[in-house]
Amino acid sequence: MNWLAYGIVLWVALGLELGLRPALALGPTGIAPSIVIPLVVFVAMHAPGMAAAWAAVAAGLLLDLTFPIGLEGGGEVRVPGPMAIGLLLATGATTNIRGMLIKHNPLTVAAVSVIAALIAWLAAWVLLGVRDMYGDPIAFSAGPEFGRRMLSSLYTGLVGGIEALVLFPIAGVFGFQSVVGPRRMVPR
Amino acid sequence: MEPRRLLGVAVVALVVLSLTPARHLAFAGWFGTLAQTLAAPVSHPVSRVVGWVTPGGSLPAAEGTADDWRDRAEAFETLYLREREENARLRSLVEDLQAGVAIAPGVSVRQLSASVVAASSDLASGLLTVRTPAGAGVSPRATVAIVEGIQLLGTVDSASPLLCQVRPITDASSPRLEGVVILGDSRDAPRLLCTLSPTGSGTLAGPVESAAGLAESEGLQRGQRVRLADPTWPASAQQLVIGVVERIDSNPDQPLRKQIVVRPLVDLSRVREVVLRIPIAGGVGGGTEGGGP
Repeated sequence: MNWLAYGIVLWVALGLELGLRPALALGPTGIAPSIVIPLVVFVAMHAPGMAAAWAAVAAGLLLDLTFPIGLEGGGEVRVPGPMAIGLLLATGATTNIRGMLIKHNPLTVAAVSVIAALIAWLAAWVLLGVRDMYGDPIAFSAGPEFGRRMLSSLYTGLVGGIEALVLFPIAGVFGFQSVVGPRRMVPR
Repeated sequence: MEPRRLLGVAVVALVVLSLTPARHLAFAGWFGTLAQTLAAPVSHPVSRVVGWVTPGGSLPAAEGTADDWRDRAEAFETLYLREREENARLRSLVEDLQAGVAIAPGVSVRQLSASVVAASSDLASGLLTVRTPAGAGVSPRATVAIVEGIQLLGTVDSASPLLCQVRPITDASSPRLEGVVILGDSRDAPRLLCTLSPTGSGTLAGPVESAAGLAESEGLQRGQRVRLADPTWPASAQQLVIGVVERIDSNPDQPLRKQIVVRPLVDLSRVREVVLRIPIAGGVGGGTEGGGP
């Protein structure tokens, strides 16, 4: 896997997520899609397991660091870990099922993105919920967050399908060993 | 280390960090700022485009939204009011300069506006430090400072290329000066002579007499203007206003004569901007320049 190419695409995806997320949010509900998660899914579907795992950790760590969590007494904190762990679990699930998937279909990316987003956000929800239980002063309310993350996962699937249309044509730059892109009929 | 084992260590570290209390995670803020800075070349243009495409959308107080435009409107209103105030100040300054020229049209002086940068640090001294305009040619004793076009402030005591010290006429250390009280509005109105000394409380006081030296005080009223008529002062200072008659008292030493208390038109210890009347060498009426009180 070409890490430089992945780094550049991840940088663009993170920038888009930071810039577009407020605009894509459904009003004041906070339900918004992720642009980074479909990329991680795409990599998990095609890259070697270990590379996909590290790619997920890197992407998750960046998400953790760029989205601060408010503190009840004022201020904010960046918690490195929840999304990194969540995306690692999501990547593990994807690599386990990828043998059964039609990899070259954008709808597959969309569907797997929904599952991956569910796993990642639920893992992060659990970890943040544990912090909330032991009295850490983060502004986190488990109930509303759960529903928000469920619906955001569905929304991420929608965005993931569109994102796949961009990722398939540039898949060659990632240096995946598996064949990526539309199948061609090869004459015998 | 094996990649798989390294990943295991990373996972453990991430779990620990995930559960670490917020008060111990201050260090992550620096990395977060770094990550956001690195992502900014992409996220910032995207945010701007979003702001243009969805005006007043879901970005509260972001660039391009209604709140943003309201903030901009307020900023421009503040700027407009500030400029209007500056315009009024400049108009006032122009009027002052024109009034100063009209006082003594035959005297060749150059008038320059200058800011008072400091009062004296010594409480006992009333000297004002004035920023000297570059190349102004301010000379001690010959240069007079005025305010509001006609009000005499004092003479320049000392001057350097950048700053000069002005001694207000109300300062306790200022010398006595002679003036005339104009008893009417016309140019030919009768006048009374007076010799005024600073009282130390922002006013000047002294006896008043007729031109013939008689103890006449008929027509003397409060509010009448007192102008400088002192040959020891530069020509450019003559007929400038010393102040208005605030009080008329009997002279305790000479009961038949009156004594007046004169208050300048403005509080001379609080002026922030002055006009320096600098004599032009060889100019008309410059005969008495350089004399000074």
